[in-house]
Amino acid sequence: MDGTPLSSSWLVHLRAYVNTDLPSSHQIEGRDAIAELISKNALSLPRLVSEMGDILTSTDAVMRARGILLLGELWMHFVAKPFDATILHHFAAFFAARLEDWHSLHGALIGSLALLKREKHVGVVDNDDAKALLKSALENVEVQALVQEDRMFCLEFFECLLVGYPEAISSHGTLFVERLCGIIDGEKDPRCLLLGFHIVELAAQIFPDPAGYIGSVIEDLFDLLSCYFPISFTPPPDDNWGITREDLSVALMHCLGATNLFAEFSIPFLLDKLSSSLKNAKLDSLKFLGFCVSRYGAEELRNHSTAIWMALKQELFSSYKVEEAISKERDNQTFHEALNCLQACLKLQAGNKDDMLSLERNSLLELVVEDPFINDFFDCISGHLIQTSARVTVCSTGNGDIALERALTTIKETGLILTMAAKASPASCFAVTHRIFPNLFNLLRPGICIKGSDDEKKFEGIPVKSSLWFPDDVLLTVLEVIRLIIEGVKGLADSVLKLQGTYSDVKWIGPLQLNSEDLLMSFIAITVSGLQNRMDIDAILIDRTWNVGVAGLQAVGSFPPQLSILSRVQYDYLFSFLKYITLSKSEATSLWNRTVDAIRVICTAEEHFSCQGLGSMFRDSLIASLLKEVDNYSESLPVLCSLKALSVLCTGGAEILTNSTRKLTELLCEDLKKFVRIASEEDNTVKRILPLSQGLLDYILPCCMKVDMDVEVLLGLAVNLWHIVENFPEDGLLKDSRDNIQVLQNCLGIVQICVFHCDAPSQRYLMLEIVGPFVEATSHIFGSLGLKDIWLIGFFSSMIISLRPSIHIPRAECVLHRLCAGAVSLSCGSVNLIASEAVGCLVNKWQSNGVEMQVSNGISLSIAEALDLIIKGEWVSTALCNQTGTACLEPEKALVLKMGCIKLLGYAGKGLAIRGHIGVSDIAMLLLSLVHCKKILVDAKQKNLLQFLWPNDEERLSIASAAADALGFIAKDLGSSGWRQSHLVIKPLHQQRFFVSMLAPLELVLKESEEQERIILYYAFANLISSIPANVILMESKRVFPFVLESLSALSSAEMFSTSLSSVLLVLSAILVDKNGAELASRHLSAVVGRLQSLIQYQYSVTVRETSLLCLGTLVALPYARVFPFRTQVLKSLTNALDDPKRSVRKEAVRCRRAWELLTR
Amino acid sequence: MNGSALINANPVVHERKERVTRREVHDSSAEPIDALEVFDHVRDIKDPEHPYSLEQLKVVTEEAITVDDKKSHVMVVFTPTVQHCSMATVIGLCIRVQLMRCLPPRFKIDIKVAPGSHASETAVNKQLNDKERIAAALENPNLSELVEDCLAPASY
Repeated sequence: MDGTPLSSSWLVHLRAYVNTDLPSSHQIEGRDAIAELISKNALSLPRLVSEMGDILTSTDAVMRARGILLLGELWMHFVAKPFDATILHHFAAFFAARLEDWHSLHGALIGSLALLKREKHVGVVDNDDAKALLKSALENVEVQALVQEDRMFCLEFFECLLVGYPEAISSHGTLFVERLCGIIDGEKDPRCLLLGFHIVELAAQIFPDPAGYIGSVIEDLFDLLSCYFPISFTPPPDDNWGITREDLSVALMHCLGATNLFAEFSIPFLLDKLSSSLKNAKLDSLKFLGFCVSRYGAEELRNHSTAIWMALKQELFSSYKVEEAISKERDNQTFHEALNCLQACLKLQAGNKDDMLSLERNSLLELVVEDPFINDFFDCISGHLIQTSARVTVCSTGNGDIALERALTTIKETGLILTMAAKASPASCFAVTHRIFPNLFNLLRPGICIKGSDDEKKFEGIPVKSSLWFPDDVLLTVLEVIRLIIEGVKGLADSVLKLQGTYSDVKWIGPLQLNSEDLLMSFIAITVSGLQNRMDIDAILIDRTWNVGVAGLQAVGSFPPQLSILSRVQYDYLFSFLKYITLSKSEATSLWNRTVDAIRVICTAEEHFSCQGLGSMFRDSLIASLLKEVDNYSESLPVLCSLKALSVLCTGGAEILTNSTRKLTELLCEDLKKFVRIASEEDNTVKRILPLSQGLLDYILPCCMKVDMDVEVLLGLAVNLWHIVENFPEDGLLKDSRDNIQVLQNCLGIVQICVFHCDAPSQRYLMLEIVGPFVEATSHIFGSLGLKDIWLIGFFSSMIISLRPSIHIPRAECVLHRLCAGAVSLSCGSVNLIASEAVGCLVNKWQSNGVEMQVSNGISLSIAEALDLIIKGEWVSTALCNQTGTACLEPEKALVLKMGCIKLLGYAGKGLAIRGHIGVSDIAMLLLSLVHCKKILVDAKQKNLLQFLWPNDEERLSIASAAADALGFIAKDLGSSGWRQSHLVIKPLHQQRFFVSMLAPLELVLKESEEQERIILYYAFANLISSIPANVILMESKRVFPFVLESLSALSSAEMFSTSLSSVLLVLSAILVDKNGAELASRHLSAVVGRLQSLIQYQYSVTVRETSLLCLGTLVALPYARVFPFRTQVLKSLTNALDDPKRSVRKEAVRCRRAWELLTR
Repeated sequence: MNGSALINANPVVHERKERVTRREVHDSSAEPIDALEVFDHVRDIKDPEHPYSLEQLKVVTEEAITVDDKKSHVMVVFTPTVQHCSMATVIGLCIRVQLMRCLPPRFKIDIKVAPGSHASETAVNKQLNDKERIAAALENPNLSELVEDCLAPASY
């Protein structure tokens, strides 16, 4: 050994591994080092074995075992490394021999398992080697006597053999089966059990012969397995394996279902366990029964069908359990599990294909269909119908209540069972529907006669009267059951299609088709009955009536066309009924909504089965009628409803939607053209344009966005509307009524959405189209803008807002100038805001992506220059249309104008802040000067604008607070600022940047200001801080803290600041719970306590009082020595809070007081 | 108390009532202190003997509390679990201390055991409403510690 050249490097590792005195980490390192060498091909396995000779043949059992374990673990490590067949063969023989050695069994097992686990492409052991391994294992290994880990390796070993070498197993079949029984007998470990169950399952599948190996021990095997049923296992709390009771239960279930040799034992066994009082046992038996029977096949089911049905009936019908029937607590889980089991069994019922009427004697299906429970069901219904027709009130006595309750339960349960049966298989579907529907409709038919019983005229006209029927609980439940059965049949249709691909043999739909007329009519009748009686019965029942009616119609109508149960005439009738409801929008909104949705479902069902049928034809005709309805503007169906219906119906296809949108936009354009020319508000156009524009905005356009509509249509709509506005007469007659402004807002919204969804080329085209006319049209005086100009500014602004950042805007300087003027101009108050927003968007997207904005003469304008343009404020004079400033304006108007300017600055600042541009500071300084009323922070170019905005004495407070609001607006996050998403250029953390940049100037102005001027500055501070995330504030807590304290005392002076006050308090509470913040607070504790003490008396806001108490309560967590001196003082001040008029404040006070009380202890 | 046998070894434990979340009133109208609010203060006091709240043992109920906000008066009638309960005075003391802390000082607080529920009813009532005896009791460190223990917020 010593002579080998490699000795120094790897024999050390080998020795480390076999040396049991070393800690296990060293051993593992040694093994890994050797594995590394082998994987690098620096060491071959034969070489290793030859070097290990001494160890492997040592008489020291421990050393020998370590040596073999090393080889075993190495093989496990190299499960995916290719080796050639010779090596594999040698090692297989080696491990097979070592299995005899009790001491080294562990390593040998690992090694054998590793060899069997290998996949084909890396070389596997051949069949003979596998046989040798198996033989040795069967002869030498006593599985039950091993420790858990070895048992598991052993089981895995058998599992691998069963999967990969079934012939090997069959060659030692008898011995294997004998061992197999031993393996499972008394096994307690969940991991081993999982494997054990799987092995039995595999073995049973390999030897299906009743006289085979498994067949001979099947009874013993079943006895061993059945001990585990029902599985009761609670995973230990520190379980790392994640095995649950369900895993074990499923494994056992698969094991029992593996071969039908088990059937003769397991079915009686499970039926017996079904009567157990343990809920788990019951549920498991039902689950096992369903699974096993479906695995065993129809033959086994036939042998046990009577027993199974009797047992299931026990579980299905609460009425059979007398004592439980009264208690309302029905065991839903058991019921559903029993239903599933029944379904699994019925699925096996193939039935006679040619003659579905003749049922096999004593088959489960026959037992179900001929069972008396169905007669009970009919008796319940007929009994009830006789009672109601005789006008005997059922609910008059207490007894009646119980009887009614029972009847309802019976009907519901039967309904669920029948539904399940209808869903199970074609044969059971046929049998159930054939048995149920004719009899059922014999009972119900008297109520269905709708109008004249003349056969030919039955399908003409719309039913207006449904006799006899009055919607009550029982009737509705029966109809619901019918609907459920139909849905069940539809479920079957789906699964048949999935299984067969087509519908070849569809006799099972026959009974439904035969009774289609009754089905259709009963649902129509109940709907009509609901309409007739809606004044007399309560809203919940009415709602349910319509629910049942429409859902039933939907179920009847939405069968796949090949299986359609309605005839053409019946379809037409159904559709005309639905159309009638849709087009006659009565007060029954919920019925209307449901009907529209049902139509959508019926039509989309057809698309689901990919064939064009009557449904889509009907939908198209309905859409046409709805459009006509809008066109004609009739009073019967409001325009908004038509558009809502259209939006629901159009979700089916992009094409229909495109067409409808085209038509609607034509109508809108038409209306808009007339809109300004017609003075009379009585005219239909004026009346229609409002709901039309509203509906387009609310229903149709959102729909368009969902289906990825053609850009052309959207662009067309925007351009058309623009051209109409462009051609407005100069002297429009529109009044500034609320409706008219709403129309304008709707149109602006429509344009904005349309342009937003246009792609870049269309937007570019649009800009070329509209900028010229806009600049031309607004070149004249802004002082007296006409209707046309206002609309133009609005439309133009909406389009600018929606532009993508990459779009080049021609004559940008002009555009900016005009938009600024539009934003403040007094004569277009309704579009001021949208123009301001447009300015914000414009500066936000200006020159991003390197695209330069060009001014009229072709020279590009940088963002800084654009900003200068805003700040110099020349547009103010354009808006004012004179050079004299505000002097000639009335004071109120001047103030409105100034406020508009400040708002505009806010928007422009926000646009810049969002993109993270430094220029925002110019605007912020301007605003801050206005808040502060001192011109210390501004430079020369801002003088002009500041001069204009400078407040006189009366205006001072309003201007200052408006400027403070504008600062707050800049700091707000996008979501809550009301700025619609519009392709903005957003820099992350822009809010934080802005906030931090504002702190220094604030400090400066606060230092310079007088006591009374500070209040408004603190108001601005509160605005700024209110929407900044807490962690940013905490990072700056040192700078922010003095502001917070000062603003708490400053802002408490007036009611108008109460909201700001509470947001500052929230900031304080965040600071107090932070570690650094708490330290700050403890240094200034006297000030903090003082402020909070006065705030708990703050009369204007409950929130402020509550929050200050909360803050006061958190103070006790500060260092004891600092807090304690304030205890008496605080407790004294809390006495008043305990008597607060508001309960929530008192509660908080009690909590706070308790915290301070406890300080002594 | 300690070491000796429990006075009521097996008290009947009742379910706690659902906590009522009151509708928030956002106007400025005053919300006078009512029985439920007072009950909220005392329901979670721990029984001196058992790890249950007074509510669970049905020692206090909302119905047995009368509040007159205008006249600044509160009356709490509590029912000891057994007739001869020597803890009745301690329970009463706990209730009083708790209410003294939670209610504004303008209130006069009367605490009584329910008529017929205690062997020495008059004596207990007298003791519970005697200012000096209350003050003296609270100066007793053992007793005040017991009271604080019962008042400490706990989760049952």
